Amino acid sequence: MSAYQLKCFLINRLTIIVVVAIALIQVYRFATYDALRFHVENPDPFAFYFLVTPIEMIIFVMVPLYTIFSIPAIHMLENANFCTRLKNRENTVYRYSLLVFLQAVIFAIFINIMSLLILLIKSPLVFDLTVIAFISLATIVLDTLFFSICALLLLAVYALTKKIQLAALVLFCYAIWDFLIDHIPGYVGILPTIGWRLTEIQCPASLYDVFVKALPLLSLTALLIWINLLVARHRDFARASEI
Amino acid sequence: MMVTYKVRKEKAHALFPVQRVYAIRLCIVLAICVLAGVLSPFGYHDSWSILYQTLGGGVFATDGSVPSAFAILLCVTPTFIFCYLFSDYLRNSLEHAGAYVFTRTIKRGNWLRIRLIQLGGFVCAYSFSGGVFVGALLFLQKGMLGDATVQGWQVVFNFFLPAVTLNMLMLLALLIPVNILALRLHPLAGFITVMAFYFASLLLCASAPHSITANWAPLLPTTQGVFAWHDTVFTQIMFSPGVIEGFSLGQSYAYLLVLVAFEIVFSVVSIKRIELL
Repeated sequence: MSAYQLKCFLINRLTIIVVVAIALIQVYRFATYDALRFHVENPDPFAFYFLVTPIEMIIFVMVPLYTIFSIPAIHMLENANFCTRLKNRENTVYRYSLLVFLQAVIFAIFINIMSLLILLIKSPLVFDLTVIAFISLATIVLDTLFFSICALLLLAVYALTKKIQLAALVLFCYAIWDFLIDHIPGYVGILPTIGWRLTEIQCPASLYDVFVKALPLLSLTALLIWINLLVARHRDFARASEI
Repeated sequence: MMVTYKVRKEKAHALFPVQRVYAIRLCIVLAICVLAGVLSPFGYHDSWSILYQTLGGGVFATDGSVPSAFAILLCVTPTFIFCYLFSDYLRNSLEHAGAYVFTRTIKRGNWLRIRLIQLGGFVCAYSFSGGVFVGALLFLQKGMLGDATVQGWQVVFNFFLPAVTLNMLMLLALLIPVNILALRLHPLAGFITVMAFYFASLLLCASAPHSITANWAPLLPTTQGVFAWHDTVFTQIMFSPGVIEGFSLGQSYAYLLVLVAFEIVFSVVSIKRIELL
């Protein structure tokens, strides 16, 4: 991947506006977070880490912002020059997957950096730095997988329907699934969690626990890449006007 | 021989195809409002508390405890749908007729002025008729207010009108940047960015303790539209737990009006610089 491609992909008006919005929201989150929420009786760093990033904030704020963040990648796929240079359609999907993986890493770091700062600065408790580093890294990995799934789902629906609004709506439905089954009495623990809840790890956690949590996310990622490959064989990404 | 042409004056009140589409969208949002009104009685005792939670924004005035997720969804969904359906108003108008209008008019500002007035009309129609529909429905469902000391006119002048006016100004303040961003960047980008910031600030203010909300709410533009946080005689009597001391209605009106004026100036500058091709 050339430096020019990366620059076009990462530095554009849409990504800049998303970064500014996230920065404003994170600063505000930091300012309004109250130290009283840290319960001294039960100093569990895992619980605190996920307490400062509530699921409502992810579903209703971060996932929609990520939708805008991944629109440039879809526009890049629609560019006829980009598609023809990659020789075949499968390569286009693999390149897109790589690009969104990079994007997802950046986005996951954006989200987790403020949780980490809140935990380290606002908390009256002192945590073991190795534990905090482990939680942060594990969460960044799991968040990256979650956001990669979001981008691949967005592409699959967009390639099928050519409607970005519909694709965004389907993505929102996927993201809200975990939130809904948390809040509908009688369904907690019965219906499977397939989204954000899979990124939350409980104390005590080891590398094996992270792998167990990552496995369904990895399976979903692989499934969506396969679906995108199938779609790419039958649908053109490039716009008809550009060919 | 001189030939004269009769020029038909465009009727300002006529609904052109684009406006007709948006009128239908407005009806859809109003239907959703009524649906939300039908669904909202679950968990509440009287129509008064439902109106306070939804129209007055009482769902956010929780004094530190995290508000109920479904109550928030019920409260903000009609607003979100309205903003989404009207997020491409300027963009659509420009795509349909902009090229013809801009080549004939000397100032682009005139075109924008008419579009913003139309947008304001839609916002007014939504705010007032939505409030009236939901209020009437709730009163029909649950009977009149539970508290006998509160008179109907007092409710209209001290709660309904200020809450609806605040909502209206807030919606306008949200819709103008949404439309400008949709015009300049992408149809979805404007809606998602502005609404994400709006929802995040409300959620954070609602879940923060009262002492922190009292510092932040009077400063933020997005919190000005929540009636339940304002310090009025009526809110002190009826919603005392959520009221922020010194957060006056007049201050919010002034804040929102200045914000809308600033957004209009920004949108004029933005429209002047836009490339039609």
